[in-house]
Amino acid sequence: MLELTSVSSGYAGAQVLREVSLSLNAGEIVCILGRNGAGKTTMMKTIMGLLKASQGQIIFNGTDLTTIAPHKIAGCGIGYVPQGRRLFSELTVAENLEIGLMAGNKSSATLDKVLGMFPRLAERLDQRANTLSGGEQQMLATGRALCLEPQLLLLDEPTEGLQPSMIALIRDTVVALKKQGVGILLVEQRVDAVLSIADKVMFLENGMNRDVMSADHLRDNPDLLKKYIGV
Amino acid sequence: MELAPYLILGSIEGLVTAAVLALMAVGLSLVFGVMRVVNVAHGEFFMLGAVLAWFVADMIGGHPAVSFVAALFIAPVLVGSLAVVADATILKRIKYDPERTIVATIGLLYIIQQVTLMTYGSNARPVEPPFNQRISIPWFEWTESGLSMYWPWGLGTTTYKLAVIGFAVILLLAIWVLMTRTRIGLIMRATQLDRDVAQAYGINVDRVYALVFGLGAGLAALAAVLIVPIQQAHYLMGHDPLLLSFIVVIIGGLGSLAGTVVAAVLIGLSDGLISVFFTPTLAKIIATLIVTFVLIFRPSGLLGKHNP
Ligand SMILES: Nc1ncnc2c1ncn2[C@@H]1O[C@H](COP(=O)(O)OP(=O)(O)O)[C@@H](O)[C@H]1O
Ligand SMILES: [Mg+2]
Repeated sequence: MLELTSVSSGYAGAQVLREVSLSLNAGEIVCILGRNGAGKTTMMKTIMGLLKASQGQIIFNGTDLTTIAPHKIAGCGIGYVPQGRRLFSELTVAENLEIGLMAGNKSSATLDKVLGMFPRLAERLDQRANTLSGGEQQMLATGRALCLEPQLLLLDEPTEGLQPSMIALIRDTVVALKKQGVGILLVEQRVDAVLSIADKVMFLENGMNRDVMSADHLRDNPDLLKKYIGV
Repeated sequence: MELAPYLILGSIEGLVTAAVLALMAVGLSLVFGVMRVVNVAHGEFFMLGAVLAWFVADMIGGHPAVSFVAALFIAPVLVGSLAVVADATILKRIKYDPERTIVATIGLLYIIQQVTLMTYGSNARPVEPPFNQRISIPWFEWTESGLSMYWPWGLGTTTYKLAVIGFAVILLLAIWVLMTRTRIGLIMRATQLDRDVAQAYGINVDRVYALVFGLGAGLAALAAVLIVPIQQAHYLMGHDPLLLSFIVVIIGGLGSLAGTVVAAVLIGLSDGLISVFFTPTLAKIIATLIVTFVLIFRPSGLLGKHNP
């Protein structure tokens, strides 16, 4: 479904990602682990076309995303939940979700489905996004992405700064999506929160792909965590 | 001399200024808010609107109402199109970098001004208003024989001036509806708040920028077409309105459309009143003083976000 082949990218004058390769199938949860500054967010931004890949291919369902206009990538069926949520802060909950619906050309039936998953959003449709609690903001950021009914969901540190009950909700949501066949690329610092649900783990170090392994393998060899990311 | 009648006169003159200023400043504010571009050439789009109105009226001729209405449509569309071209050929190429866009729009200012001087010349030319009945304003006074009505000398306005105020109010309401109640308004607001995430959610940011720059310039041109029957078209007429628009946008709060309109009414009214009682120069001095105090005490403007 998603196939990165030796992708390099970065910011003006500073290369960050170096020839990263990765493959992800429908219904699979792939987790990217790596220290701060390893290039995890950069990788997400490159997939979304917000940063231009200087090298390599990003094939999604047969389309090379590096060759199409960045604003067309969402329409291919990719939902993006950025690090720090990045909601449209002064727009209402309903308007934030509306942007997601527009991106996927979806109707209010989709909206009802998403509100069914996050009833707390349904109660706050006319509230501005920046007046929500941290947990509600994460629900909205996730809901906004789900409004385009993505085949692939990119989640960049979705549990950052959340309390345990909220983390559990996010995890349950991810597992439910996996069961529906959605592919999930997950960046996460809390190794404990993801090891139990991930299928595959990728270690990113200095923008390079250090190792890829099944989550089962990592569970059996916890010393690898210490070796790669020092926890 | 009685004070009150002149207060009314000054207020009407001030509201005409406010109406035109609000339209122009909302254009500037929209461009700054969504694109983060400080458009120094905004005054030239205004001037170009007035000059094109003269060309259109001159070419069409006939009844002033016909040629004026034609100018009201044609001039803003032409100026807006020119702005879209400038966006694609200049601003997009320098990636909307804040400093470089200032220099680039200064360049655009001089190009537009000099081309206008070369083609239209240095004369000021009038455009006839579509209608222009004089209205005298009556005043009431207690005399020994009871309440009496009289017509103070010089106390009057024209139907055209009142129409400018009304038309501007309708246009500003239309912009408000566009921004808050329509899909394209939602897209513009989302782009303003987070350009990258908007793009990741399927919004064609390049097209939004072109639209906003064209709309901003079109509003300046529209304001100019409205004022040209009162003020005449001249190739240097963009300077003062540009300065006043910046003042209005800063007082109102950068990027806040409501604040921009409030500030335009404030500056317009004070300009009208002070000009009637004192001199237009004093009005400008006071407007500049107001902006100074706003910058000192409320750096993000009257309705701006994040006031200290
Ligand atoms: N906007 C930017 N401009 C320049 N360099 C950046 C920018 N954002 C991130 N970087 C650099 O890119 C590297 C990777 O950052 P990032 O992808 O955010 O890491 P991670 O998400 O893994 O913590 C870091 O060295 C960071 O300093
Ligand atoms: Mg990150």
